[in-house]
Amino acid sequence: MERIEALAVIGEVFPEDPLVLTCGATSREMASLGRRANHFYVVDSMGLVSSITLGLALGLERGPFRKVVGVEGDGGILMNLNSLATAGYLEPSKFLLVVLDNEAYASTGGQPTFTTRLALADIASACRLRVWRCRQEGEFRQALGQARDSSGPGFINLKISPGNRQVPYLAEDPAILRYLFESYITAKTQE
Amino acid sequence: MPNQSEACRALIRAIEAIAPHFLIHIPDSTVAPVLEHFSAHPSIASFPVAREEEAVGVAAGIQLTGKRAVLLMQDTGLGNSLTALTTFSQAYHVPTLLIVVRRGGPGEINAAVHHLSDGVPGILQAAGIATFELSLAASAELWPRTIERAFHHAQVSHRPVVVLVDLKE
Repeated sequence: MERIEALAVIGEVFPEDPLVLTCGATSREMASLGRRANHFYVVDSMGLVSSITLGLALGLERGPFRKVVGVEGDGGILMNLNSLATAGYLEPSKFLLVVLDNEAYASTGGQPTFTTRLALADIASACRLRVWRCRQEGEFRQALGQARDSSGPGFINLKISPGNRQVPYLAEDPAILRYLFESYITAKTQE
Repeated sequence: MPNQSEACRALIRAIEAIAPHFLIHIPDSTVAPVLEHFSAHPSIASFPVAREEEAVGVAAGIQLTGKRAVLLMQDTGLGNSLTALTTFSQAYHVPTLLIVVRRGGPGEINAAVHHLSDGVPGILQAAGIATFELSLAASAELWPRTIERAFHHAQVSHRPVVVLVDLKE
């Protein structure tokens, strides 16, 4: 699958649960599919999505959402492997991290990452996260559904093809992006 | 403030007065009594993270849900958090209170520590992060008052705010 196809599937399976999208092409491509109030675009801070997602999952442990979903790349999670250990230690029931793994730093020119030689899913499993390993759309949809409907921290690794779609940049002030997302969370938790 | 243990008690009072939902910390021997106090607190959930940058991200996520988190770390680890503090907490206007324990200065015997610790106030200033300072020269009443003010300042300015606390006698 291409990244943008995987993002469309994530958006379908989680139409209302919070989605935290990593910087670069991931945020841009998701935004190009249509802005949604439950989508949170992290336009920089590479590697921080898993930690932000963990904080959201802790804060929303008793909230209305089934899962809080971080969408990270292989390069991003390699910058913050600590967060997998912290998630495994704290065991937030709604934490789900989806890593779209193209084995490359696609947003910076396609340099190869460590996942050309090692499996992030093995690391996540060692951190006591429930792990799904996917290569095709069918198994990815199934993994997302299972993760959505189960309790406990999860980690989905989807191998995707390299490359980016040419889509517009996200140029809004990040304070506005935060305000829109926070307003959505507040409204849903007060329903 | 006569000594370090009284400063730890003042820190506990300050954090309890703020009443955050979460206290996120990176282990630190200087404030071990504070961490011990909150390890089984009835209303404030306390937990460690592995590294300072994570702490900033986790606290920001918590804040976006309408709950409050306070961070406790050493100044020698503050460098690990700078990218997250500037490109996320500041850029996205996320209020965050960091209580940062000074390691360097007279009384510290680890020579390596000073090379980051001494520069921390200047680094924070260069990053545009509002900073308050406390030491044992301040009265026991001033500690909780300053930390509460810093917390309030973070909320109303929608930015990260640091309180540098020096507990060396």
